[in-house]
Amino acid sequence: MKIFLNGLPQDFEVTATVQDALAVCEQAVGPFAVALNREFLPRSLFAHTPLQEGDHLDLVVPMQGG
Amino acid sequence: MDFSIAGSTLSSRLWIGSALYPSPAIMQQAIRASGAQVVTVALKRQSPSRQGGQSFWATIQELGCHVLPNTAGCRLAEDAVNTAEMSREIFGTSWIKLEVIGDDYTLQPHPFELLKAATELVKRGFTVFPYCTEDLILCQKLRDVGCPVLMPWCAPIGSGQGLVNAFALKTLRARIPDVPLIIDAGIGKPSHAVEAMELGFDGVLINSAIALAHDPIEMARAFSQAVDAGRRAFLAGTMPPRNFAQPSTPLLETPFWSGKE
Repeated sequence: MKIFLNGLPQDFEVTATVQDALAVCEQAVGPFAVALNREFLPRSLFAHTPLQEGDHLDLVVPMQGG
Repeated sequence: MDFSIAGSTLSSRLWIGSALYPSPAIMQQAIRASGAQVVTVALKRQSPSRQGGQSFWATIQELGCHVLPNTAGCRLAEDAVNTAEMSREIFGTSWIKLEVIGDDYTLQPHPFELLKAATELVKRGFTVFPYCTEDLILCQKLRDVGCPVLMPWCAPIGSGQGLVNAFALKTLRARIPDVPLIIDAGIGKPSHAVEAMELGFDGVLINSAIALAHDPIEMARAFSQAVDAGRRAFLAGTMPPRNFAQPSTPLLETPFWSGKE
């Protein structure tokens, strides 16, 4: 199935969870948090949240701000 | 001149942003030079082709300051709430500088979405520092839903215009005497910070005016002194203005005093 990881389409197994997707994601290092379809997903739920076709998974990281 | 804010004791009333500096090294030196103990940060979606969040966060952590994450870029309460949740997980703090923008040209806070987001975040256990306009009723409502600090603008973000509506800011201070008020956005130079502090505001948050200065490190020192001077002046009590001259030297018995008007 295809999901959008930080806006880019990527293929995953139909049984993939959020944790599976993050395991192959180079950006998932250091401090980061995740939004699934624009909603915050706590780290504790990564392994228990299955992905579905067309999902948008976004990783956010710290940046400069005022 | 320590003061307590949201359960933390701070000795500096100057808060500082981490954006727009010429380099991370200059940012770090400017923040140190400012003496600020509260630094604002933000979140961005990680670009697949660029890293950087980790090194930035390490640079900020070295400073040992309180981190105040913002919700920049949000236009809806729901997005601001989700951004706040992600910030809390990454930065390990319940402090959140709540920004919900209603107009792209002025970057004016959206009062209704802001209040909605603040209400929800307080319920979720956040310590909400709302970036708001100087509107008295909005500020009273934000206080009433549990915001322990209010952060009114004095002019649009990055404009450097200073206190464009000093009357409303004075009114705000007078009507909300018991909640810390930190001026956020619009200050362009140290004299603006002095003016805000002389009015009795509890602090100022500066980013562009320091980061965009020719010498950000020296400007950080200038703002530090300005905030201190303004606070001392407020505590000392400024003299009331008069419409006519009043000699500072007693004229009676001076050699050529005529005694006539």
